[in-house]
Amino acid sequence: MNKLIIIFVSFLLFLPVQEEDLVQFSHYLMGEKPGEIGLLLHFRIAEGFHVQSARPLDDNLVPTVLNFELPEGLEVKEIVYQEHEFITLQGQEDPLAVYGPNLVIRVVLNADREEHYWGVVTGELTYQACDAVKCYYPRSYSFELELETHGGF
Amino acid sequence: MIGLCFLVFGYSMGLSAQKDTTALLQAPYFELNDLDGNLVTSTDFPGKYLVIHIAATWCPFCNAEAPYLEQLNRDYSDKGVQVLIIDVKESAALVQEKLQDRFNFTFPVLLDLDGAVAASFAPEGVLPELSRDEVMLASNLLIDPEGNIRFMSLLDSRNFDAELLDLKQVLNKCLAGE
Repeated sequence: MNKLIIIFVSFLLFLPVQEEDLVQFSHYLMGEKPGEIGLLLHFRIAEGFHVQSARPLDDNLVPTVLNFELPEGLEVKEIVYQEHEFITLQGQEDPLAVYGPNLVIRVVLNADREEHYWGVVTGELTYQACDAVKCYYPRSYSFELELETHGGF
Repeated sequence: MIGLCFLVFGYSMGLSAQKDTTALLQAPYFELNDLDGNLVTSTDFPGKYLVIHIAATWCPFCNAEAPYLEQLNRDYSDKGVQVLIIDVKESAALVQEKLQDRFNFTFPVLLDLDGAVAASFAPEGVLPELSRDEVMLASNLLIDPEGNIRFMSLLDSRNFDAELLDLKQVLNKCLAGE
């Protein structure tokens, strides 16, 4: 019998905000069933900015990518990025696939744990942002979130 | 009549006509390697106008402009114009694959590995919160045979001129002796 616990947790721990963070971790939702943890991560993108999609239409562009440092017993099963929007540069036919002003990413972790676990995991979002004036170097944003499993798997 | 137009953030500022060219800004000297490892300097093209685009492989605006740069080179290379791309902070292998192999440029692509050359062109006081080389990404410059900057446009996403219409307008006037 699947056990599904939905816990709404605001971000409890995070690394010091970097001065030039154009994307910031907002909050997450967590659900749990035997052998899996589901996360819905919400990020805010600075007003007026957009970031390239995880699946840019142009291979030259830097995709938004989420990675995790996970403890033993947890591993990433699936990462699903939200649907992107399209913007078109002046003088161009092919649009850009972008995210903004918010970004939601669904993550499913395989949890091979039999005991109750609580810990802090570190995530890193790599992205490349532009606003109405400039495009900015690709950069990475690190964040932390509390993860709790109730075991019994 | 000699005029200098700066196009910054979509605004153009024209100086009044003057025969005295001391108000024109001198472009900084640079020397960079091209993709084949050959040293190229800003004084290697005597008597020519230089059209310089400062780029990065990941920059969407740079990629959008690339075909128009190549076309400009084809249209103007026999008119005393030399086009150059200065790529910022990327390896030769990456630039070869992402830019040269993709767009088949017939002009030199130079590697500004530490961004110092790009930074040297950055206008003082513009976007001070950014590093100087970052300010110059996706910018276009026109430098006359005397080394004077006749045109500079910084990226303005709202008024992005992929087809280089503004630069060509100034270039045509310069070539016509206006």
